[in-house]
Amino acid sequence: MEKKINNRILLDLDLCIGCRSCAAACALYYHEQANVMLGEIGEIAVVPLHCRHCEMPACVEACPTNALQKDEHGFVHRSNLLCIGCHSCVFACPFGVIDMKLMKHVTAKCDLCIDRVLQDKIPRCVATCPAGALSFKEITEPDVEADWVGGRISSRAIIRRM
Amino acid sequence: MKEGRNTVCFFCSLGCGLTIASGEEHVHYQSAAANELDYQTDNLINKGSLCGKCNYIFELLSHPKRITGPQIKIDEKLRNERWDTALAYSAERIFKAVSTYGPGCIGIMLSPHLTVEEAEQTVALAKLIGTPHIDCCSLEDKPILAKIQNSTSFEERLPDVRNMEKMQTVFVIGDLFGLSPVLSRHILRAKYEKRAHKLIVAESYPSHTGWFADTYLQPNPGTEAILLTGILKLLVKQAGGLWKSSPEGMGSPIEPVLDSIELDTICAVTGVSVDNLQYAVNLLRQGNPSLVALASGFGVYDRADLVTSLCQAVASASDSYFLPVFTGANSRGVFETLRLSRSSAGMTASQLIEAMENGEIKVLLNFGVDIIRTFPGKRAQKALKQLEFLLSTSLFPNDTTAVSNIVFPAAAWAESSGTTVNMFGMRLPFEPVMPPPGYVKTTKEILNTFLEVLKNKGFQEKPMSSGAHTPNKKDIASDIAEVKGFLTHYAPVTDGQKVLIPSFEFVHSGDGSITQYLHWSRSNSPEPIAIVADEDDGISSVKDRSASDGKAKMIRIRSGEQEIIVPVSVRRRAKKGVVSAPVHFPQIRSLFAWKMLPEYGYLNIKPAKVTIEYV
Repeated sequence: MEKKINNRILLDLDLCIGCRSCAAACALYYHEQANVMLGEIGEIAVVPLHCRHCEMPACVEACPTNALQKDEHGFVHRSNLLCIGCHSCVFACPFGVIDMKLMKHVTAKCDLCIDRVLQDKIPRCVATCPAGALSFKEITEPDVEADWVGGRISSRAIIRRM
Repeated sequence: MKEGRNTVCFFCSLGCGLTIASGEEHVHYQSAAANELDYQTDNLINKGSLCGKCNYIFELLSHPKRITGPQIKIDEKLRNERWDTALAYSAERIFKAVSTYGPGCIGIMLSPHLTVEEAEQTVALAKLIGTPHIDCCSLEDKPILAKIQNSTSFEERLPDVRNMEKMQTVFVIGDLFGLSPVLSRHILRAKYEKRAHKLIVAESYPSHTGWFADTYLQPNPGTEAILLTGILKLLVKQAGGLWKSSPEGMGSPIEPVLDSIELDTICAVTGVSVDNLQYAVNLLRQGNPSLVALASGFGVYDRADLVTSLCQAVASASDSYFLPVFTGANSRGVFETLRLSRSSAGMTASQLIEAMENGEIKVLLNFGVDIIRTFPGKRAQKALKQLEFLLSTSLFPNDTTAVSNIVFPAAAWAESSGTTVNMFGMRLPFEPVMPPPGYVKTTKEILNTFLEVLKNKGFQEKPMSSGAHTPNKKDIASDIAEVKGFLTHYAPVTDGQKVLIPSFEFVHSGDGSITQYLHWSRSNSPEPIAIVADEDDGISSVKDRSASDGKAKMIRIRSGEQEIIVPVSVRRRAKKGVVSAPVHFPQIRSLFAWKMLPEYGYLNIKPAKVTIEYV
């Protein structure tokens, strides 16, 4: 029995420089279909939005063809064969991390680079992050709090400057 | 079993390590390739991090547009040719030129992407031909390196990459993160791991680096040297025993010339208040250790040499390290190689262009530079047409290879072995990860064979002749006096004029001659976009129209005789009176003025005064 992987991707907003390298690493592996969404905060910053692989994933509930499934590690996977590109998961996702754009008739869905994670490596976006803003770890309550935009010291500095 | 091999990225001067694993002879992009990139998490420099460009380095290795064999121009068309014929033809043309005009008619231009070994071989080639005219062509890095190498006042004090996270105050001049994104790992760790650490940023446009500043100095475009003089004045005044006004070997004392410059004038010209300057000075003095980092960039500074000299002075006065960050991957290595072996009588890259215009240089051997794209405007294009023979090596076909008489294919770093010297002065050796495609040979192999062919033709190695010209060595006091001269002649923009400043994008590097072939870079920055401030003249009407028909609005930017029409984007945070546009596009580069500084032999490319009009 493989050990359960509880790690998830966490973004430290203090460190993100908005360079989109995470999306580049993802797009390279997944044939130009980046599974990392990029959120723009006004005209100030670009930050990556990752799938959180929720405890009770709304996208899995919404999928009419059961293309989205949760595995034993809690990772939410999408089957390319079953996905019909109906956008149900896009509308269901409360965090807006699934891209509306279809590539090869399927939606983009992060699988946490399961091929690497099972070899005790970290996901590509985390490994490539130039500023070290992304980490792959078991997420605790203080981490969730730090993930809020308001916790970012530099963003406060920007608001002050404006 | 696929074997992973390490190589070094060549998109900036940081020298990030990456691992490429391949069991096949050639990497096939979009199939096996993507599976095989791995991240060196134990690498000292980048800890596995790679920027977006570097992730796509695979694409270059098996790109369908790569030049895969030698080409000779026949009837105005480049045709494929055998290696031995192409080399013999080139040797014959060089021999003919040398016997007709003498060896001084031949110029050699090097890319900052060459390895140290390749640079050494090109020097051997120059010695064999007997020409002193050999130089590295990197417009952004040349003034900085020349100033550091010729400084009579300061010794270079580079930080260790292992100590970067210990810096308590980091003073950044320019868009450091845009130029070298992975460097942010070290600098932001220093800022956030211990919250007391501070980041001061001085740049004329709010960019990627400016977001993170604790103290954000926003000088008017082109006034960085004046701003640094103000900081130096305050430092010298307050530092007490820390800074000796004229230590031995530094040259003339600087206090008299600093005293003659009024702080109020500096603040009026730069647009930065005395309080902000004072706050920055306090942070610099408190930091132990602290770092002054200068990011190079096309068209950012007015007199990058003076900015470099003053950065060194500020670093020295605040007992800080000084880190110049270069655009060219191996600028430091190539310059160092040339400095040790090049004759002082030789022309610089910019002087070579002028010499081509007036017919002094008849033959140019160009190793890896897209000259037409690199030099702003059309002068380089016209100069190259004056040549009798142009030899170019390149990864991809470009404007310069199109006008070349002979083109040799070049190999990427992942396909060759060599050594590079990064911005920290670290020598990074690397081995080939895979063989180059087609009939491509490494530049080292080409040069080796070329040297043999020339020796067989009867060329003999000679020492480089030394001429009367010596590099202009000035001390810091004369540099400050020159800045003082700036102040008296400083002319702000007139009504109706705006200042065009360059912007840098994470997805492109340098002049974009290589990154334009990367799918990621093209899709993220497909066309030049001019960014202007909200509330600028006439902008509200443009915004309204844009909202109604949903199409991008265009702007005409005119600078001297050049004019271009590009889409415009209105940003609330952009600085008023300033237009910024990405300079990896040749049409944007052409708007910047080209002025030679004869005493150093390089170009001063500064923010341009332009007029804009909505169309």
